[in-house]
Amino acid sequence: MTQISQIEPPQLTSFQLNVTAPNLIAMAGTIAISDPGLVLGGCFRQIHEAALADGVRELVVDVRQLTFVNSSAIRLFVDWSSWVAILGARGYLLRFRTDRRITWQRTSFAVLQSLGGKSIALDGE
Amino acid sequence: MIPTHPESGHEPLIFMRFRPAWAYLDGVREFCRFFCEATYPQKDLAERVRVVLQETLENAIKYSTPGQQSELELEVHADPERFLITVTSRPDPRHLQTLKNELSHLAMLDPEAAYLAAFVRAANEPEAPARLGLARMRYEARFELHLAEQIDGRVRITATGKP
Repeated sequence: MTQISQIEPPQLTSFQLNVTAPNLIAMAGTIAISDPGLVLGGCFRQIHEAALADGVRELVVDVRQLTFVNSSAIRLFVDWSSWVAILGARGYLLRFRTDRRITWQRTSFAVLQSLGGKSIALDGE
Repeated sequence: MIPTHPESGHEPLIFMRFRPAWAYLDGVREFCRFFCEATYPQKDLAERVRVVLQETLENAIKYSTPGQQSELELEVHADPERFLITVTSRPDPRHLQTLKNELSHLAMLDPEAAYLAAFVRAANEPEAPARLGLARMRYEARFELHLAEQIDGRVRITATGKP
């Protein structure tokens, strides 16, 4: 059994996270809570560590249904991108599947990609 | 009494006064988003307003001085040339200085460069607060920000953008 399939998604009313082994994470809803780092940061870190433990070469994070987030939630994606950027070739490719019609995704993930270099890939619809 | 805009003398399209509680934020933000979507033909205005409201109200709520006088006021003004959102609150004095420093720093950079710089800072300081919100309002929402201290000790943040 893979590590990633054992991730337990957080239970929130406005946000859903689904894990499909071996390497797909799908997020939906909104994140506009007071402290997303406290509520979701641990889960994102668990996913990252599970991906490393499973030795995946590419992790796909589908955010197309994540329609709105606050800047504290954007920070979670900055952190995640930093984790993989630091690892370089020892890590995995973090591929964000985005919807370019959603403003926050169009602006923030383009900046993230410039920050994360070759460790980050974007698929924009 | 509903305040009028200091320059135009007009009453706001939307005026709300409420306690700075997180419980109100989603409802207020989504009402204003709906109002813009239903009122203006510009497709992206509602989304831009949504971002500005989330970030300004979130800051006002997080950093308001506790107590009876800590109500915050939200005003939305519009004319053909400008769309204005103001949030007036009574912030913690320590936060006020941080806010002033941040706005001065942002004013020196173009919105995209400032947003990238904010991402770099967040990446380099993983334990520190994100502080992406102000730069996000300028780059993603295309609103410029202005801070004014009022005689009564409150602080008014004005976000100005094209409709």
